[in-house]
Amino acid sequence: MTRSGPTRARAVALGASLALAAGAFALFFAQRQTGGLWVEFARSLLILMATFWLAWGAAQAALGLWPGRAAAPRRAEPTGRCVILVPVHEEDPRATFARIAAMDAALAETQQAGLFDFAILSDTRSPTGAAREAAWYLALLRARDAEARIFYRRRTSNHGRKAGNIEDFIKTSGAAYELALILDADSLMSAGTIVEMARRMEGEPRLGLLQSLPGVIRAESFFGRAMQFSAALHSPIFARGVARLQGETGPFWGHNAMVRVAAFAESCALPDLSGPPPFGGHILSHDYVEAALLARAGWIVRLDEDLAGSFEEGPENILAHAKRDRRWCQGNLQHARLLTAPGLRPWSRFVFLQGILAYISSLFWLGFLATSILAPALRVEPDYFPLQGWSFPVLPPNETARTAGLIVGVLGLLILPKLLIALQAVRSGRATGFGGTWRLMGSTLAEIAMSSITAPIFLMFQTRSVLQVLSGRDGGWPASARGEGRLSLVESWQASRWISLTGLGGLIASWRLSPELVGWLLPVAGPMIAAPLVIWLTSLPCRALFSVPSEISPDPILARQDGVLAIWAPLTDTDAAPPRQEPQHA
Amino acid sequence: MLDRTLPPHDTDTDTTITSFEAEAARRGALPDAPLAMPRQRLERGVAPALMARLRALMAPRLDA
Repeated sequence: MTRSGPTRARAVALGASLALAAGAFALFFAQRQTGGLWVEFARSLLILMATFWLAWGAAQAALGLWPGRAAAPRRAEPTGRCVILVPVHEEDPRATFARIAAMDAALAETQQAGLFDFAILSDTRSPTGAAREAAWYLALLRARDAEARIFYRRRTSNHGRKAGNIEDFIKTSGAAYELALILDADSLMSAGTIVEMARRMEGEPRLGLLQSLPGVIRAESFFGRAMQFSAALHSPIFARGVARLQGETGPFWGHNAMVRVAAFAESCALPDLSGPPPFGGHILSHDYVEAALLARAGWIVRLDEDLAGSFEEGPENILAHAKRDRRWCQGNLQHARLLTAPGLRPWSRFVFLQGILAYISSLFWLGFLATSILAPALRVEPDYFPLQGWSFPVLPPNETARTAGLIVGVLGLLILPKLLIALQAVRSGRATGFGGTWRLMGSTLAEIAMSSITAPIFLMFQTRSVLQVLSGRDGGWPASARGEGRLSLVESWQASRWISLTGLGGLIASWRLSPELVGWLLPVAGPMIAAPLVIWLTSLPCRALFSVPSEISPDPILARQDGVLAIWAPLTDTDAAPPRQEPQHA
Repeated sequence: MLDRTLPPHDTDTDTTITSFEAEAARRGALPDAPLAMPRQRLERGVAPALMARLRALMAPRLDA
């Protein structure tokens, strides 16, 4: 992409989003009720902010629908040494190390086998977790004959969390490698993709970080599979849009990305921010900041969405998703401290602002709903004859028509991009990977239905997260929730009864204050009231819907991981470790 | 690939597992190849300095 490419794309996307937001504001304000001018202005302003955010997402999808660039010419084979970093924190070592074994075995079959090492960087604190890791690490070494090639170290201090963990590695061993592939504990990448990333890094010496687009795999629950389907169908299009917008100031999502070690070392040692958490202390969402720092130092940060064979696992239920989102919320809001950081590219500042807006927008929506319910109480009596000498009455516009217009607009911005992406998949033949046209369309409609039902629930979780952070509550560093996603109805009720009660309260308030709104509020209040049921039902297993390419024609790396897990399945933690000390390899 | 993985055996105590930590640390030791990482500046000097000054001004009054 030329340098003018992102500038033009940014102008188009920003212009379209601002125009739509301004249009929504103008329409809403022009249709205001008589009296209560400030209330109406505030509501219109909330609509402007919320519409901008939705339109911005839709603009990214529209940019991504444009055909992709031609395949890059084949470059020379990589020759530099690369370390694959696997930071872990209270993870299941059997599952994590099985992924490493699979990737190591796949890399061993490539011509570049000798170039890649693995380093498991543990921040696990619990004695049991640490012991399990040690036992399974020894099993991994034995299985892959990998001493001095697959390393393992556990930190005594967790300073800086994941970013500090990687920094610690670079300070200890960074000079041994030209490249580092940063993974998460649940990351899995094909050998071909890893080698291709190294090839692209060596082919462009100014490239400081190359981000791949991880696809979600191994989802079992209804919610997990809907997310997996969305990631497989929508994410490549959205990612292409993001890549076009960001150009050489691209994103870093913290994993499944390759960095040039020297560039990372010179640019990315993060300071602790002054003051206490949640706004001070460690930088929580370090990846965005590291991308901004690399760009500040003149390095290219690029997202290559065409790289296949890059995978991760996703949350299996709404509660696990909300837990992860709480962490991301705090990290993104903390970026408010960095908006004025010295020397950053304007686009990096905009990316920080975008992340903040992504979470703050929940307050806009909730504020809009609350003012809509309260508006009739604040309204003055309408004046049907505002013009002297004019004998015909001027009727105030109907609130229902306004609400209907708003709902249609919002649904259009949310749903239209998904339908366009599905149609494009049918046209391009991509639908085959999703089980064919009809199956794809059925899954698309089911995903739209599920995301519409769960949106008010996520709105509430997100609002709670934002308010917690703004009131100074630090979320800490909980272990990631992976694996089994099935919840009981009791668990769901305990975690979401406050949402049910809020929805019920809102509906009763609306019925008392503005009964004409009750029908329009039901799509929001209904799922809120039914939140425990929705959370429980979507956590149940589902195989009937949401077929994805990784199931229909899976990457061989998945079968390799399954093979390792099958061999390790009968082993207990104690079995994993050797029965006695083995002689040390030379 | 994993044919050298041992079959299950009977010993199954936490203490046995714990004894493997030292071996894992020894056999997993990272290469010794340090690389400097200079700490980056992300906050402008004004805000922290101003806050420190304010705190210094307020401290005697708070103590009193």
